[in-house]
Amino acid sequence: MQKDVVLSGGFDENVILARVDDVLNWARENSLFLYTFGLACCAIELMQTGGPRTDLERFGMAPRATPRQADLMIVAGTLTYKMAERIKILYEQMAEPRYVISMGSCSNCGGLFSGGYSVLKGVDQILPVDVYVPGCPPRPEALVDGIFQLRKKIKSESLLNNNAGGGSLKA
Amino acid sequence: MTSEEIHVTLYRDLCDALGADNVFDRSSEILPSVEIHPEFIRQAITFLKVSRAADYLDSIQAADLLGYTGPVSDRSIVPWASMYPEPHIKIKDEAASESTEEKIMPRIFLMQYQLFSFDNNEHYILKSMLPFENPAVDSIDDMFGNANWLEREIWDLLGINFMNSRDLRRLLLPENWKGHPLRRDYVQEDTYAGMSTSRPSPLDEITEAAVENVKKWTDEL
Repeated sequence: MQKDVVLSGGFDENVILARVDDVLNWARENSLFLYTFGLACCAIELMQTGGPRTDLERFGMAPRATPRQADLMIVAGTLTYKMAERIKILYEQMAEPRYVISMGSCSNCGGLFSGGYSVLKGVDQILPVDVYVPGCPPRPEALVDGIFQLRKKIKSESLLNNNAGGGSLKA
Repeated sequence: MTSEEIHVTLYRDLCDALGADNVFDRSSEILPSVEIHPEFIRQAITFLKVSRAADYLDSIQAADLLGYTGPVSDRSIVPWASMYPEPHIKIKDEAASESTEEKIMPRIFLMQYQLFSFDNNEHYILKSMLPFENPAVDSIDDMFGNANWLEREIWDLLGINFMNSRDLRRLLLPENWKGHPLRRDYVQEDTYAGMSTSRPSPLDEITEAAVENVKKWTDEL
């Protein structure tokens, strides 16, 4: 940010100039409201991540119960075909930019249930996933690391290049 | 009374109520029970509810017994054996000199009803074997409310029909699902609602590459 640029006679000293990308990305990465999508035991770790030890709210992450107020969907658990049809509808209701973290082996690739008849083998078959968090289930530290990987990704986005999260659904 | 004694008396009472041709004694097995002719299962449960105060339906279980060779698979010993297909004899290995005949039992579904009487503190287990072609039993969801979900789950996963049910829909799987996955000959389709039902393992590529490498090395040698 360029603090020393002051236009002649126009602004006070407490005005700072910055790039739009920097400001937008700063705002986005520090207010990632998450849409809690606990589907199985990963949800227990997700709840613990919001607890006092890792405390997601330090990073401006408030859990929301509706997709319309959320920026980030954490798919935590085993995704059945029956649920997969609904998760796609809910994802489409989120406002852009929107991000998806696939948490745990089940939503990464089917995991323990990859031989099952009713489980979708990887949420990336229906949603564009930004970050995969491995583990069965991942510890809260692993999920926080995944969230920071996502924050790095958001920081590198550019408004003009139009590569912000949640661009297009796979056909 | 021990569970064996309960089932000996239960067998006697059911014989009186349904006729001895429709009841088969399995009291001597590890899990004492009484086998009922599939068409009389509803009558037997009505009898238990009225005469033995069996007011609680514990569970209904079902299984596809394809390839199972345990005691219940021998259909020739029950009085109503004619409703099942004949077992056929399969020659395993013609070259072997010893007797290599293998008896293939007809494919059946096992149905098991577990009831409990709070007044008598007794468990009652009724078994019934359904032939594989068009398996169907009478629904009991007008007698026990919880039977509806149990029956719907069995219909969903095994495709056993419950006649005169109040509401026989799939319980667990999506309503447009095809087939019954717990049948042993179930083969899943490649896609469901546009979603692939399989995922290639990254290990396969590594294994293929390793096999090619080994082949290359052995060729060079």
